[in-house]
Amino acid sequence: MRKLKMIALAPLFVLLSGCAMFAALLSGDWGTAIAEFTKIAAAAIQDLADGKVAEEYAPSQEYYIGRGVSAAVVDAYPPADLNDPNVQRQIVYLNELGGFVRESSFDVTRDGAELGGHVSRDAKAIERIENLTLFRGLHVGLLATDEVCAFATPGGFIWISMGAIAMCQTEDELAAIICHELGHIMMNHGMDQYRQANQGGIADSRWAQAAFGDDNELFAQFGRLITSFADDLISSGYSRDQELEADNWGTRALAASGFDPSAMETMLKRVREYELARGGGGGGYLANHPDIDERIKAVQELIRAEGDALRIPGADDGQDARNQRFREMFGN
Amino acid sequence: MINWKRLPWRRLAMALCVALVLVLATERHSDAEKQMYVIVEGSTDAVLLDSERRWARSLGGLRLDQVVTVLDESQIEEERRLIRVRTVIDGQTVEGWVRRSILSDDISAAAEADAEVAGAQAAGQAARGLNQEIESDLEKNDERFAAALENVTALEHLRNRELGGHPEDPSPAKIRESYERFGRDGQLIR
Repeated sequence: MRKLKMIALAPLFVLLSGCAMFAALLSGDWGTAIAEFTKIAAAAIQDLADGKVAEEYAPSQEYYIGRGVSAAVVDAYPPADLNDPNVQRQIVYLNELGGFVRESSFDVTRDGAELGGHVSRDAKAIERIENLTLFRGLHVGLLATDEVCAFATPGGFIWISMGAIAMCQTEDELAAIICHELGHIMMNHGMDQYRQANQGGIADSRWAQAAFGDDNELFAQFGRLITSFADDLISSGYSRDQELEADNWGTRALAASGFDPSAMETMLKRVREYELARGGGGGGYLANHPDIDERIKAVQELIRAEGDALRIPGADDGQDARNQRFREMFGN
Repeated sequence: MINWKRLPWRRLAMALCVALVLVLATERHSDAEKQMYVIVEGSTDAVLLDSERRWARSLGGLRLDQVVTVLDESQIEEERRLIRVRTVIDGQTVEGWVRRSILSDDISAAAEADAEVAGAQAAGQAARGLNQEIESDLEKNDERFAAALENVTALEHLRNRELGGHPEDPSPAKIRESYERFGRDGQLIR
């Protein structure tokens, strides 16, 4: 009787599922079922080899990738001592600043597909930016180094050095650094690079597990991928076009948050001074950034072209209050 | 080999009718009340807001995989950043606005379970658990990575505790309030 019911319902399932393998299974045609299954599995493994599986990542996946890359950052640069009450206050301040900017700048991201025309994107990549969300929100960490550096990872982690903060003379300049890094996150630069690194490589799926047949090998490959991605980020930063786009996003975000957008230009000029003091060019994090003069010029042009639209009336009113709390926090 | 003459045609016809009714009923239901799932946890994106204003008041935090009912599907089609939904918070049914980007048609845990039968594309989206597994595995096998990751976790806990009231389970609404306070103190919100 049960078999009869199955047979009777088979066409219904086939109708609803449209699946040849299912139909073959139900009609007892094991040869066809196995052939169909093989076809599906082969297509999945081919997708894997083509890197297609790695196209889409859930916010939770981006978060775990970000944690892995962040671990590599704090392995390369010592993190500030979180047991120090003063550092704890600074961390709270930095996270409030970063979180406030993000909450204030969603419209910048929404219109951000063509920010300065630096990075070209297909429709899918634009959709990814428009739907970007952070699994556990934004986290800003502090690195205990005098070197001027800052990093943004996928999933919402920003790391900023004490050297970079010491370089700033106002809260708006510090906000400019955070806005630039947040721009990398909101424009999905980290995940774009990660996708490239993962092209044709491993993919994070159960299919991959099936293909490798060994959890440890799959995990080890992931470990290598994260480490190599983090190494590239620390040594070379993002691409020239991504840096220019982050400057553009950051300048707009400064304005949208009520800060002075020209703080981005001032901050970049301070980076130039830092580079010159080090003998030009900058090393490490700054090594592959676009020429600083090119970045300053691009920001100047943006403010010249859209200055009125970017400036909020009364934006300068709170500068004294902001600078006072900035000085109290970091002694600058 | 199927004996076509002996098939229970009447039963089959009835089964098809029932299936058709079920399919149509489901369609109608989805037209009226589309249900979606929250895909973030502890993020300030995961709050139900009382209006569309930038610093709207939070009506409460939303949990990972929490079900929300979309009250106007056209807002999704119009690609609005905020859409109007109904959900349950602290045992109370509440209506408010939520970010479209934190909602998915699929529940994350179910998506993972379905991955093996649904094909490679679904599997690509469903590897949440696998990422946690990878992290734990790397921690076990690499002391240096484990030590570094501890610093990252410590940062998260500090930020969550100070801004959200709890190191591991912060209140997104509280965190959002601290952001707003920061903006007001710095005269950035006018």
